[in-house]
Amino acid sequence: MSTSPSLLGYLLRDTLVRWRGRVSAPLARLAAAGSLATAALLVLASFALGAATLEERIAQFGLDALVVRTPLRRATDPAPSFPALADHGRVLTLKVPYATVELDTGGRAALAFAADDDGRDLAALGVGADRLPVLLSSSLPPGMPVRAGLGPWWVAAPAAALPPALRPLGLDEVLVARPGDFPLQAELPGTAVTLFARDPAAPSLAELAAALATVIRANPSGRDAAPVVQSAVPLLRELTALRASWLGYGALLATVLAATIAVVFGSGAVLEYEAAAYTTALLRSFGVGRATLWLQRYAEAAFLANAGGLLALAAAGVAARVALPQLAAHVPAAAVWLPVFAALNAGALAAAVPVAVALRRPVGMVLH
Amino acid sequence: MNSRAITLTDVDFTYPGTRGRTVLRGYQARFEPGVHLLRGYSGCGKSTLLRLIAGYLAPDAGEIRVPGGRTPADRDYQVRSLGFVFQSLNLLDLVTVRQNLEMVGRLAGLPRPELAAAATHWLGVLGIGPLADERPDRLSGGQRQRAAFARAMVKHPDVLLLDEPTSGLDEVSTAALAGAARDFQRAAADRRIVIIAAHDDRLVAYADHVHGFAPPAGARP
Repeated sequence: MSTSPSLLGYLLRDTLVRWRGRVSAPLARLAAAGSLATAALLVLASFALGAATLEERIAQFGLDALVVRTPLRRATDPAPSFPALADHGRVLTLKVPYATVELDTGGRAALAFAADDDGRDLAALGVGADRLPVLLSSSLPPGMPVRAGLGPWWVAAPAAALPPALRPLGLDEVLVARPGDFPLQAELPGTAVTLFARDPAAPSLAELAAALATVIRANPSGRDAAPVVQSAVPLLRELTALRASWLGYGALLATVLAATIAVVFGSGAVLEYEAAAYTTALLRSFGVGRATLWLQRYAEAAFLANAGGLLALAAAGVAARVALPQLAAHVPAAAVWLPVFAALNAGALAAAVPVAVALRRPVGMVLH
Repeated sequence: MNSRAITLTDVDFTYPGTRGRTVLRGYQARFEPGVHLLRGYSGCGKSTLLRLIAGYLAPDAGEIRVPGGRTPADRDYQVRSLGFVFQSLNLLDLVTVRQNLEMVGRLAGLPRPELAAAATHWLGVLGIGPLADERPDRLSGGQRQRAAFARAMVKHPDVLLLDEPTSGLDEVSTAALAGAARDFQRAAADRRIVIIAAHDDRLVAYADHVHGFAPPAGARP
């Protein structure tokens, strides 16, 4: 004896039989949802990658750091001083010639000279003047004996931890030496790098940067090129602009995606509904509610849309790994997939609206 | 007033979008328990009347009351108290004949054991017991119509509406279906109403009441 199917079982069977009878219909919807969602995911992941890159640069620079780069004809020329800055935070100046040194560990390091003679700047780095030369390293263990040099000039420079104050330089290894250790390089052109770490009570970094730029413009130094003020402020502006674009394009993409899904799924659903209108009316005459029959169509659309979305997640991940590996990590981020899935589901819901309208037709107008 | 009767008072009905295809105008009728035969030519509005009594269409004006004083749109009436056999395409093709009956019975809230017994009974009465586990698309037209009868009767409705039930059927099938409808009514003669809309003269012998049916003057069929 056969068992009686539940209503839900019957509706599920009805859906599967319909799909099997015309496989192209669900496949076309799956492909539409999948391809559109893949494109949307890749675009949004690109924004996420851009924002992450900027955030990384901002974190590296620090939200309270200013860097002033002043070109020097000779690396040992006097560095400019910015006494006004010292009232609002800690100032550290290094002179960096255009040269790098080799390390006997196999790597390379930027060469820098302490700007002052009494070692105050070095103390800010946590390094005594008596310890020069020293290799400030982000990778080597502190105290490790290292030899560094260039040409005939080699020095013993024990490793020390790279202090956070030097992070805005964007260097991993810096050899701080006396000009006498590298006499030839000391005569090369270079840059005086003034690193400023703002006190918490000081005016905002944007205000300080603006004030400093004004001072520099008002007091030409007579050098070949004016000092350049760098901070995270432009990066923060860039990040804000990027996030605004992300939001705008995200909303646009989600709207287009939802509208396309609504049109593609909706037109298919209406055609299928009309083809099965008699059976649907028959079920209604048995007492099956309109809401139940609508839910069948909505669940079908939502299933195909979300399945397309999941396929898109996998496809976008693969495409990103092939084209731009850094992008792949951002595809599964909630800020990327959430709007895409929200759009897919909004489209699926909108696609079921015409069916809801069709279900309002009286049973007696359909059955005969 | 007998609340077991179906009454129609001043009922008007025009199909929307048909530019005045009026089917009923000021229609009055009363159907007491028994077997009623509505006779009239094809397209005169017999089927429309059955759909109005079933609540599948709503009248433009007037009032329809079904047993219990309810309106035809009452969900409980439609699900539990009404059986309807349409002219064609009566069965769900994805499930077996027995499952067709059981689905309707379950929607009507019948307990499983009672439902199984009723399904077996009516399939046997209509002579299609051996076909219970067949899918409807494997049955002949006559067998499908018998299965539709069984499905309408399985929930023991107080109102059974049959729309051209014997159209295209041979004498044997006609006799089986009409006899079953009459026996169904007789099993609860004081409350069951069977209305058959047909232009088949063979059914006159099975009816307690025969009603001539014609569209209102000036109406276009």
